[in-house]
Amino acid sequence: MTANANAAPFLRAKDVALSFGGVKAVAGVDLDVAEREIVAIIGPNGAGKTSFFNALSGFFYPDSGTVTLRGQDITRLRNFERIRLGMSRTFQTPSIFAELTVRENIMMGLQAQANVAFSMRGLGARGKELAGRVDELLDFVQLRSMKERQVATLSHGGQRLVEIAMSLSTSPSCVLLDEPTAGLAAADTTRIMEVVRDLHDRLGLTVIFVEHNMRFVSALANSVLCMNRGKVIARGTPAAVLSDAQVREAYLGSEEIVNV
Amino acid sequence: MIEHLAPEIVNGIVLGAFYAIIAIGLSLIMNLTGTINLAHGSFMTLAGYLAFTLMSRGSNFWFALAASAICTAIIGLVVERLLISPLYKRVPLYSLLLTFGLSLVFEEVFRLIWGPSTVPFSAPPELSGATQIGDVFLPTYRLFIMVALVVVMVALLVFLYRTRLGLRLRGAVQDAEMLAALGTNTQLLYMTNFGLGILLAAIAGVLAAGLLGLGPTMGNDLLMPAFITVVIGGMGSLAGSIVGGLLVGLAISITTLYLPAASEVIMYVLMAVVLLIRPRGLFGEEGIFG
Amino acid sequence: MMKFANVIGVSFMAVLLVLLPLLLPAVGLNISLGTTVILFALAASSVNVLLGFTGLMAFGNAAFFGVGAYGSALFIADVNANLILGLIVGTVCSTLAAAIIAPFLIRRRGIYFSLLTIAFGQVFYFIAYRWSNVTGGEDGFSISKPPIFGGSSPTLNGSSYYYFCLAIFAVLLFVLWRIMRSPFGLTLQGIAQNEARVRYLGINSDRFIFVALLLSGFVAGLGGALYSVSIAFSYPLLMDWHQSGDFVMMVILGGVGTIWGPVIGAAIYAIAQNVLSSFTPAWQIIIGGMFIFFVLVFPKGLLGLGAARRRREEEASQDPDVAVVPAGLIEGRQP
Repeated sequence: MTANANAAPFLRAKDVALSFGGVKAVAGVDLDVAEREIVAIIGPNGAGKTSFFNALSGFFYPDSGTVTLRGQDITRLRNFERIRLGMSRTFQTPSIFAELTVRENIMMGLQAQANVAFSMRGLGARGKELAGRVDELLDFVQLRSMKERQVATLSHGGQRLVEIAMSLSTSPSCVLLDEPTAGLAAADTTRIMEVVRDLHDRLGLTVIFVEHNMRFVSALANSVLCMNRGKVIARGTPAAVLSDAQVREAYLGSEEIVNV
Repeated sequence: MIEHLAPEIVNGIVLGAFYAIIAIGLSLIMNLTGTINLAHGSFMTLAGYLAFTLMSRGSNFWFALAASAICTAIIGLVVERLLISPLYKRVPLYSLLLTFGLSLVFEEVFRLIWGPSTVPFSAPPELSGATQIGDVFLPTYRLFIMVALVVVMVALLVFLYRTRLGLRLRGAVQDAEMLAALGTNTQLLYMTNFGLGILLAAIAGVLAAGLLGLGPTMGNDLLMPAFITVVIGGMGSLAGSIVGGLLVGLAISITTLYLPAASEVIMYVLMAVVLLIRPRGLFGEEGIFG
Repeated sequence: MMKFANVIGVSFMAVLLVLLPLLLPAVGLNISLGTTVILFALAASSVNVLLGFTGLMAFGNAAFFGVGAYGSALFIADVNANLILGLIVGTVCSTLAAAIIAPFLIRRRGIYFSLLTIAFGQVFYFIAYRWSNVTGGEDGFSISKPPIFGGSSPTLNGSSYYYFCLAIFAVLLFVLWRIMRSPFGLTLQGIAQNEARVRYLGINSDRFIFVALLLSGFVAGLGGALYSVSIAFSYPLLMDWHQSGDFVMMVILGGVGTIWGPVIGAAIYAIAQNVLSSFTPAWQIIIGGMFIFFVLVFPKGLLGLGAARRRREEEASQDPDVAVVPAGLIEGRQP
């Protein structure tokens, strides 16, 4: 599918605001994402990045503003309805089914997608096909050997990969990743970076991610949005945003920016 | 017409005030610790029986009311420390089941000590008889209960909104974790909170004994309307408990006049209607338990 | 594909249940106690569908049990003395009852869900209690045991009724076991463990909870319908929240989230009640004390220790001063 330059952007957030008990977590944020773009959202802790993500993905409804996906207003759509429109997300702490196996974790979304989740009998004829999809998704994140392991027994990095594979099980066109490398060792970070790159390069997905690791951001993102105290303070190419004076000030003293 | 309706309205308000007091206690405990206290009714009955025992040994009503309420609250604190507090770190189902088991034990103990049928519990002579208001005669004891329950509620509000401990308690209900981080002794708050809920139940229990008759299941019979009051008013809302209690009380007493068979079912109809219009209850906030 | 240990377990339970009518009289107990165990196990299994498999703290299943009991008993007494038809009517009634209250329940989680199940469950109790010209009010009403197919077909008594119940129970237990291994069951387990993730897989969890409630109402109602025929009697206390609490306790006694847990719990409960009540009128103290003891000391039930895999870790936090409620039970402002 080729992007039509005149059409509305793939995902658009307009003047989104969200507050908790008087604290404005997100205070009027705009974001346009083109199809197959990779957008990074950065900013110091408490900048409102995750809250903005929550408003985009319907974890919370925004107090004001609109979110549109392919021109369709999804602001008040319930979270599972957004998933069915092709949006998908991960969370800061991997949101997984810890006591189920890796296979069962992946299967849950697949069977919903295949409209067999209500079946009280087996999967029947669809079983083979879905099992094949499980293998495909696990190959994508290179976890096939872990298929029958209980997810709780996987490493933190492994759990993140399971979560990414799960978010792919709903056949999304756009994935939102909330700090995909948080708390990971260097080797795991590299692995996640490859997977995220593949989401775009191999699967042709639109990717939006929140990230603190600036090496990760400059390596992957086409465009960067920097938030501070609920507002956007800079946007543009990674190089431009990371050298912006305001951004540097917001991050003052924090080591991430020193690395750049 | 009014002479038929007025006593029922007073009845309704009295019942409603009971439901409100019980619901406030339940709601405090539910909100802070996630415990649905199924033994709440048992504590009411216990207070009633303690007062009865004191009075049958020659104590006057007022001393019996105060002493039994305090004793019951202390027993409540012991129960909270020994049995319920170990469960705070588990899913709330367990504390629900524990208080369920407790209510079974209590009920049977009441039967063993005070017998299976109701015992004669009469209001003090100064509160018996009727008082004339306008053209209507109303039972003095009911009017007294109305006043007493209003006093208790005002005292509670003063405690919660005007004292340091009360403020901390309300803070803890909002966010127990934050309070723990700030260094407040949360276990002490849980205790205070539970004791307060039981104290309210105990006062209501003694007052109810003189009105509804004191038997082993007296408190449990009041428990279900109180649960419905919590649902109608919205969990965690004091105003909700008061308004909800009055609504339930009035609905029950007015229905009793016209269609006695439906007097219990009416509160479920009320609850269903409220939930359809406002799923979180009339004053329901977006609290941690929804 | 069953594991060897499971095969042993199932065979053992099956043999025990089949031989029960021979064993009970040998220790001086009545066969009807065996029937009670089976039917309480059905009710406890219906709680387990919500509590164990879906992670919902249901505390009102006696309502479904009682509606099933009244439905079949009223039909048999007033319409047609036909066991099979009576069971069908009772079960349809209880499933309908579940369908009526489910819309109020499915939007709530955690203790609010419990509160609503307690409250809504009790409405059926009051209807039975007050609508006395139909239901016999507080005293309930008795029926005579109906012929299995009505007319001059045979009437099941004693051990033949026991085996009839056991057969139905075995089929239902197998069906529940199959359902738990089906795509639907997997989704229920997902809801129990991490409902937010289920919704972020594009699944409307409310609808699954609705169906789980219907399933629970169906199983409980069938148990109740069989029970009122078994004791030839139906009375309001069958629907009281105390009865609901007993059913939940049976699940906890045996082990939450396991297929056999409710059976074991029901057996412990029914036998303890039967034996204790013949010794002392104050048996309720011992039963209540047993509940308290289990909640404090064996929260996972007798089978629970081996079934830890199916259940989330109960401890929300090692630090008792923090985190009172596990994350899964907190309702956020999630649309």
